[in-house]
Amino acid sequence: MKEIKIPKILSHNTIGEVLQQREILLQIEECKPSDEIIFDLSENESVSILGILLIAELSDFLREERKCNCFVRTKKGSLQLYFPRIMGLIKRDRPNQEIENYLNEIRVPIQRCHNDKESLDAVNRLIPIIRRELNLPEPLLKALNWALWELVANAGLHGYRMYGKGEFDYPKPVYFCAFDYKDFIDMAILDVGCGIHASFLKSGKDKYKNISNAEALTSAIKESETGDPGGSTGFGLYGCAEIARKAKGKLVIISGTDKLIVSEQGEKLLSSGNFSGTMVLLSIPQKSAIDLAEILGKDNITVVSSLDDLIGGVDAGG
Amino acid sequence: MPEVKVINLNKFGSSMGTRELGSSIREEVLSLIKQGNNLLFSFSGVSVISSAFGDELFGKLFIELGEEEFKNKIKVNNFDNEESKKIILLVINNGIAYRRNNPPDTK
Repeated sequence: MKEIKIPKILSHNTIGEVLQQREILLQIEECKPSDEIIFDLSENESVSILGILLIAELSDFLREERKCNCFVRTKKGSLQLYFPRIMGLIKRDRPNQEIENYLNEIRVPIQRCHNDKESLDAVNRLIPIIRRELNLPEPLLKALNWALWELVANAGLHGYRMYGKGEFDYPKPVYFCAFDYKDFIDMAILDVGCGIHASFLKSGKDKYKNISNAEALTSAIKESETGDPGGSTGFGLYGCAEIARKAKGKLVIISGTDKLIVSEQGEKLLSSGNFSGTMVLLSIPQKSAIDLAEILGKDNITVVSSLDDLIGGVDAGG
Repeated sequence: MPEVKVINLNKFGSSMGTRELGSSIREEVLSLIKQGNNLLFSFSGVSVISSAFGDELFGKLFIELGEEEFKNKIKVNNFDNEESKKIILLVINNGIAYRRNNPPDTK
């Protein structure tokens, strides 16, 4: 049996400790079939959404690839029980009706998507739940809906879409989730693809030939900068960063050995535990007044003589 | 007079974001255009679309058809409200702008 100690307060500041243990666990000699792996949350005071996604991804990998048995240990009766439940890790041998009732009210489980179809279904399942449960202002919900799509599309591109292209031997899922936390809504997404740095290096563009990991992260939030080899607008992370700035929230990107935090105060680059994929957290105050059109229209060059040229005059009916 | 075929995008979901979906719709509508139809994309019940979807469907369609044919044959309408209309048109516009400035990537 191996026990994985989780920091008492698992935030993006302490996630590096879990990443270090992850590196060790990923070595084949560390985990063998039928090994029991316990993620110990029993002394935990709080777990960030990024931490939950990371534990979910790691336990999935250990179960599916190494055939290990993974569980989470929590304080009995703790509301933290709902974390393992959404990860599908809880041992349900001692049902407690009160806790069960609470768990059943949690309607935003982690979404694990193995392809575009699953992502489409998952996003369109998640957004109505957020609308119903949190009663956010409609413009903010639209901005979050758009941001989630940008992040999911990016993650899918570097995750499951690489399957069959000589990159992975199985379609690596994309994980995402949304929580309300105090006055904020947190949305996080994780993929175990090649990471932002490798994506820029592989883009074949001269200007990215010698880019460092840290430079890749700061470039990724600039408009029109992208490492997507198939080409893309480079608007996704840039738009998410703008939303974070204008809403007085926060965008955290962890990829490779660095972590970038974007807020109204500016950009902060810190070193992090090594993570070959990409984790993104968008944390936004629930009462933010966000105008997504203003962000999308900034520096906009209209390509048809007027956008109204596109509007048709025929009633589409049903 | 070409027939106008209506593509109700809400059958795919209340928001759209994947390249795969954008690409499959593009292939479907290209064959309709080749048959001589004009197209009206109805956004009724669609809240937002992602940059990747806008690029894959409208950006690449713009390149494949050329500006004139795109303007003549492709229309959009039936937005739920002004805000959705503004956002979706801007995403479409950004996708087209990107593809126009980066034509080799469309191959």
